[in-house]
Amino acid sequence: MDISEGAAASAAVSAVMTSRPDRWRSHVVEVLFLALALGMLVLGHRTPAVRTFSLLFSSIVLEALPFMLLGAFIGGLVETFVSRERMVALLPRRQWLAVLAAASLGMVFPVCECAIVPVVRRLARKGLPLPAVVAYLLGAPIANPIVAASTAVAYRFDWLVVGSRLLVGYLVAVSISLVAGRLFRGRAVFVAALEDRDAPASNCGCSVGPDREHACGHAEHEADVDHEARGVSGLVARLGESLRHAADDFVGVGQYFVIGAFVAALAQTLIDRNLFLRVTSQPAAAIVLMMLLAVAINLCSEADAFVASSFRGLMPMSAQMAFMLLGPILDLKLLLMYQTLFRRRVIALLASMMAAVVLVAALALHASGRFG
Amino acid sequence: MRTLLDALTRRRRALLFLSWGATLLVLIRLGGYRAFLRPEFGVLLKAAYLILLLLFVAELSRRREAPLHGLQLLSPAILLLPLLFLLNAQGVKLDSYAFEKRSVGTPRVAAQEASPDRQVAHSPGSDARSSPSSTPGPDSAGQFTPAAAPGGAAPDASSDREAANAPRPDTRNSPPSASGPSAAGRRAPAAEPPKGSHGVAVTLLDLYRSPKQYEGKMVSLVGMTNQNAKTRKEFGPTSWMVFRFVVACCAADAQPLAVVADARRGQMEFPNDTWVMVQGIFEMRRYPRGDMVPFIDDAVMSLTSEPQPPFLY
Repeated sequence: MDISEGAAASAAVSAVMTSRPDRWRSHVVEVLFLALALGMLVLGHRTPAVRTFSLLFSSIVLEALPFMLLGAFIGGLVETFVSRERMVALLPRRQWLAVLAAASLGMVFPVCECAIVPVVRRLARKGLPLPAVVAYLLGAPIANPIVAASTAVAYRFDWLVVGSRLLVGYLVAVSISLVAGRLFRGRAVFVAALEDRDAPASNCGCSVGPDREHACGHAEHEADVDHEARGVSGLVARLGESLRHAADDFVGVGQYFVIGAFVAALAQTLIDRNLFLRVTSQPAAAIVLMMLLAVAINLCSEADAFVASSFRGLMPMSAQMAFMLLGPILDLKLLLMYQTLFRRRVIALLASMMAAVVLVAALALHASGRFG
Repeated sequence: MRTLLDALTRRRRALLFLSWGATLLVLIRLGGYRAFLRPEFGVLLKAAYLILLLLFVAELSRRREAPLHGLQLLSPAILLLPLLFLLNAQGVKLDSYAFEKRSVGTPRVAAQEASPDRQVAHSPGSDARSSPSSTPGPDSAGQFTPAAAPGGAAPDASSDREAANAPRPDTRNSPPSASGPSAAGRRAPAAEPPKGSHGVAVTLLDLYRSPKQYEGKMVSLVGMTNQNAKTRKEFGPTSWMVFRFVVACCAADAQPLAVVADARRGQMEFPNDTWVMVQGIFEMRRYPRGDMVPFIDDAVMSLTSEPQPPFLY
């Protein structure tokens, strides 16, 4: 999809019109979140639940931090060093070919789900068409060699499981991208800060999220002039600029990530996994339950196969597969991080599509008889 | 004072990167990150530390931010919040609380890896559990597998099948203390652990990866204790769960591995979450649902120090 000038202009207008209530709503959420977190820490820091929670929350944040920083760093480099023309020239012209290529990019450029959002934000700003954006966003966290290796180890080198996960994950990404391309044609899909790329202030690319102030000083605009500079000093100036973009992205996506990781750690601490064993007789119910569990507790597509494999023998294989297909593309922290990329209405539609397609895929796998 | 505060708030993002960078440096230098992540993540944390340093420098070269007012404090506060929880997590370990939440069903190992000849009645203390079964449980080969064995190698399928067909596990390599292949033959508990035989030192991960290799042998392993009403009812009042967590990437994906230590000599009383060394004979018992439950029979438990790191990988 090519976002029209009109759509961008209307997005900018609507952003101006809605920014104040949105900002207030966002501040209310932030205040509530901080109150809850600090209350937990002050009142219950010695209780087993809060102590365990502290360990798990810290672990999730420490595990994801390097990937988020790398993602922001790569996004910054993309912003500064890859021109829009060059990127468009690299893409296949036909939409379906572009989608097929974007969804498989993870095989050569493996990115986990924490790193992908900052990278995709920058690619979207550069004008990567929506179907290709969605394809890369949903395809890369599953169809990549690191996920293949971890799934193989967790499932004791059962190549049917590994192959099915990667292939079905790839197909899920491709199908949702193609539908999204048709569904959102000509409509504003990205958050205002991303769509507003033609506005003067966005020349430096300092979008820091839908509700954040534009934190970029004039130094960046001066640095823009250096884009044309050649030699070592020009390179250093551009590297500095990429780092400032990376800082913006890290701060913009980071707080959504912290809130998401907090909720995931709560679920990780409180959910009793034995409760999930009572519906195993109904494959469809087991699949839905494992999908809910994936949304609630999924951490990283490179580790989730080990969590899924702990349900071997207790849940049908199709339900474990549903967990491994949905978790990398739809979990609590991703839902929050997607808000730095897409409008909420678009997230709701994409999330519904993800859930529906994974459900159908898991039921089809179950019906095939090899994933019972 | 006010000027200092103003100067600090104008550099709030630089301070944010500095705080996180300093935290990572301490965690890397003192090795404290291993309480949260598997050791290999040290390299990634170093990369993160370097990027944070670069971001810090880049922020300093940027024009100063507008002074903070009111609600703008929220965003940096959220990004600094994990540091408070990191402090609260110092010295915390995953214990019975996490074990009971994260255990999925009964501890069980791969049925196809274990000899299927021991049927256990589902009543604690029943003699049936010590007699060879004439009615093997449902064939669940391929269904029951280690709860988690990250990093485990592929099992040798052919030898597993042979094991499944064998009437008894091969005990030729058993230490002298294993008085015979029959579980019933080992029932007379000795007052002391057999002298000079502390068993093969194993981890829970070893037992889960290749239970057949250790079945019938005297083993010793380290884990934490857990006993509750459910385990007492299921395995008997003198049985303990001895568990440890296996980690794929970070503590949040930790999966518990456990054996049931059948300590019928009764001289052991430990509070939950005590690190113990367990010595005894490793065996698999089939429970009516088909689960092959890992047992340490005739177990002797003694206090030991917490292994560093506490996780298995």
